[in-house]
Formats: sequence, C-alpha cells, structure tokens
Amino acid sequence: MHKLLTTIAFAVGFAGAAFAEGVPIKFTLDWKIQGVHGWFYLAKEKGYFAAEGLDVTIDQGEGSAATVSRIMSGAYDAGFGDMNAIIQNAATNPDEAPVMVYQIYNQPPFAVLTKTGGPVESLASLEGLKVGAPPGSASTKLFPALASAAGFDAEKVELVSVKSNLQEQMLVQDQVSASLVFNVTSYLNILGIGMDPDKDFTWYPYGASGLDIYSNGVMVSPKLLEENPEAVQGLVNAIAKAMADVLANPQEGIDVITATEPLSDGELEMKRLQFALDNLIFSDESKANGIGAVDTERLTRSISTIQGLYDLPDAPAAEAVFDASFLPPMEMRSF
Amino acid sequence: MSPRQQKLASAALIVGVFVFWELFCLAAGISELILPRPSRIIEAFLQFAPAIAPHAWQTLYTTLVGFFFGVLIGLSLGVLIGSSKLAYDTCYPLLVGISSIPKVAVVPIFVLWFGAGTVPAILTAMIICIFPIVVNVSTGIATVEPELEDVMRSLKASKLEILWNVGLPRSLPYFFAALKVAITLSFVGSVIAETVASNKGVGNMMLIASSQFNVPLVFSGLMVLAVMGISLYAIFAFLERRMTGWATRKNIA
Repeated sequence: MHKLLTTIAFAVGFAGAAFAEGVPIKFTLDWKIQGVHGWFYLAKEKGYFAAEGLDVTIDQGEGSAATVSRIMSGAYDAGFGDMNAIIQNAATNPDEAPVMVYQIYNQPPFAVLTKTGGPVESLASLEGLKVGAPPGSASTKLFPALASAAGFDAEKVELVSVKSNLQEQMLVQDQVSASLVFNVTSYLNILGIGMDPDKDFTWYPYGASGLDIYSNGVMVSPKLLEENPEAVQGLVNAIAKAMADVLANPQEGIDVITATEPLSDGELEMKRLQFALDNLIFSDESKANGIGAVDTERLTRSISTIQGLYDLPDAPAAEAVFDASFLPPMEMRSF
Repeated sequence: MSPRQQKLASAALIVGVFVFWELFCLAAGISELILPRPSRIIEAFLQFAPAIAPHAWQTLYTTLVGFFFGVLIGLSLGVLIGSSKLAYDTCYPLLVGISSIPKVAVVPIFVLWFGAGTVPAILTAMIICIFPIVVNVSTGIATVEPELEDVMRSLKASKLEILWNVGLPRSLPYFFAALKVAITLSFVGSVIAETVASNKGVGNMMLIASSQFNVPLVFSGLMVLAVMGISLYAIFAFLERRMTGWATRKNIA
C-alpha cells in the first residue's frame, strides 16, 4: 500500500516535468516570493530559460541555508541560497555540497541595529549592554566573529534570546539596546511599524566592520555541474540577462512578482528590491569585478572565518565552493 | 428548546462573538497590526477575493486528496488491527509513536524527498488523519459482542463472513465519527505543510501577507480556513446521520 502511494505521489509530482520540453531544472528560492526574486521569474516569463533549452520550475523556499540542504537531498538541481552554508557543507560532505556559480549578494545582510541617540555609539560600546539575538540565526552565530573583527569582547555583551519578528519592537521599547538583524527584513519591518529606518535607527553592517563574508547567490548541484555544464551555463546566462533587465527597469521585476502572486504589495516589494540593490548587490567590489563574481582572496578569508566559527575539520578551497567559469561577459554584469 | 431555537441560539452566539470583537477593538483602540477588527478582515477578504481563490482551491485540493488516501489506509489498517489480537498488539505501539510526531517536523523531510509543493501537503494531510480512523475502526471491530460472533459461528460462518456481516456494520458509527475528526485534522496538516514549503495554498498566502504587514489579510486567511473546515465538517456530519442514523438513539434529551 505504501509503495503504491509513493508511486502515486511521484507520479503527481513529476507528471508536469515529464511532458515539458527542454532540460528540466528544479530551482528553489531562499524564501517566499519577494521583490528580490524578480529576475528569476522574469527569466522564466520572458523565455530566457527556454531559449537556453531549459525548463525551469521555481519553488519558494524556507531559508537560505535550507536551499543547500534541499539541493544536497537531490530534490532540487539549483537554487538561490547562502554561500556560508555551502562552505560549511563542503568541509564535511565535499562530494555532495552545491557549488556557487553566480554570487548575487556581494555584501552580507547582517547588521547590528541600534536606536539613534541611544546608548550605543560604536560597536565597542556594546560591552555591558543587552543585545537582542534570535537563537539559530546566522547573525547571532556570526556575532563572536564580528566581535573579534571589530575588536571588542563578545563575552562582555549580554545576548538576550528573542524571536526575530520581535527584534525591532523590543528595541523601540528599550528592552534591548541593540539587535542582531538581517538588514533587508529589518528595514522593511521598521517601515511596517511606521518609523523611519534611516533617521530613527543607526545600522552597523557586519561587512563594514571587517566581517566581509559573502551571502546569497545562485548555486547548482555537483551532479548538474558534472553531467550537464551547458545547462548551468544556460541558467546563469538567463538569470544574468533578466537581472540586467531589472537593473535597467526595476518596475519590470516588480510587475512579474505581482503578476505571479497578486497578493504582493508592489510598492513595498519595490522598496525591498531597492534596498537589496543598494546594500547587498552594489559594492565597490561588484562595481569593479561585475555582479556574480567573487574576489578569491576575500572568499579564502571568509572560508577560514567560517571554519573557525563552526570548528570545521578542514577548510575547502575557494575553487571548490565557487566556480567562476560560467560567468557571462563583463558587459552583462556591470551596472 | 425546539431545534429551531437551538439553531438561532448558536447563530446568535457566533454573531455576538464578532460584535464583541469589533466593539472591543474599537473601544480599546487596538492597532490593526496586532488584532484587526472583523469588519476590516471581511473588507480585506472582499478586496483580495479573486487572489485568495486559487490559494483556497489548492488547500481544498491537497486536503481532500490527502484525506481520501488517509481514509483508505486508515480503514484497511483499522480492519486489520481490529480483527486480529496479534496485529493489534504488534502495530499499536508503532502507530502511537508515528502519530505522536509533530507533523511540522515531518514536512521538511517530505520536502527533501519530493520537493516543495503539492506532494508534501497531501502526504501531511494523509498521515495526520490516519490515526483517529485506525483507532475508531479497530475499536469498533474489536468490541463486537461475542454473543453475535457465537451465533454466526454456530451458523458455520467463516471469519471473513463474520467480519463482513457483523464487524464492519458494527464499526460504521465509529468510522463516521472518526471521519468528522479526520477531515478537520487534514486541513491542519495541509496548512502546516503549506506554511513550511509550497508555492500556493492558504498557509503560503498567510506567510506572504504577514511579510507585507497585511494583518487583515492574514486573518481573512484564517477565516477562509475556518469556513472551509466548518463546511466539510457539516458534510460529514450529514453523511453520518444518513448512513448510521440507525445507531443513534432518537431524541437525545
């Protein structure tokens, strides 16, 4: 009975893929559909994937680290997820860990959020204060590394466990003096509670304080990379092309999101996209090397940071976690 | 109380709860981000109804398919376990163990096996509703009066004939009672799976709405779920009365 049921479940799940044309690629996002996913949906909508001979199915995700486990399980061929989770897995399961091929978020989204005019004047003044930190969040896990990069003592900071959706509220009510946040989420949350994220709050990005690790990008399974490198090239080309479209006309990226999910709030998603572009994607490095590329020296440095943080047995080589050979020509990746 | 008065009373209670809710929010000046008023929820529902519809269909679809397979498996397991002492003792601990697992923890595993979307939702709806059906059906069959079985045996009936003619009809009231519980549980299962991993469905819709601070829309999602749950419950309650009315005492005082 169970066997029959599994068969039926498989049939239901894959019937769609079997009849479609082109190489089927199952692609997972890092979270629910948002303004920052415009280029993926646009590449599908405008037929860029089809033109590369790909039949891409885009599924919504449950976290940027979960993208890595979804691909490692074989349920997905590619996805948008976290570089640091790749590094972690490449150290323990080098043969199964996905490989990053297009590094979209050049800067880490982690930040220390404080109230303007509050007791925090610099990261060093966090010592002796209460700081809200969601347990299990990457911003909390990376906090000791931030402390040693910024030159203060993490032991002297009192971390309070809070749920991530309460962080801004607790800061506003002075229950904590600072919060360890994801800047994209937090920025929008502050707008949502009707405050000005730029005037009322001061942000200390981890990246600016010396913890310059990479963040989310397009990754593929080692299986796809080995068996069908043309498909990987096609995938990267189509996404880069759609991204250039969105950079030229951001509204196009938002329109495809509101068309896919009519419940999306176009105005809010536009703010989210703009914030991500300014703070995560555009940087001096991505200006010089183009979107999608990494700086090998910086990547090697962040690998050793991750290794120290999680006590990994050995450090994977930069080439093992990032494959630069699929990057499209520079003019497709400049801004 | 006449049946009519009774119906009026329960309708009045529902209306009363909503009126109190509305007035309380108004009087206490509660922010819409914390608890929106019912009138705002209905307004959001009407405003977004065309966009909510595909999500509601998806949830209904995964719930019903999962429920169908759950009933199929639950009924067969229940018959098997109920008609054999050995099977009962062997399978029960395993079943209890499986049903004690929080289904929220199972969904990510299904996603790793089948990918996000429809399949995990169907499977979650299925496994969550098997247990109450198994328990009820097996109890119904295991508690058939020994006298009835003796009569059948003295008439040279085989084990299968006893099951078919006495055991199964005897367990029907239990079975239909279990269906009412199982259908609402299936809803819970589908929505749990949708909030964890899916592209569509009411659970997914509520997450999208809450990431946009559209709290009235989150609550209209809850309202849609409640209405769908009540409707399906009513259908199965009706079926129960039609099919096993013979087993209920008339005019329960």
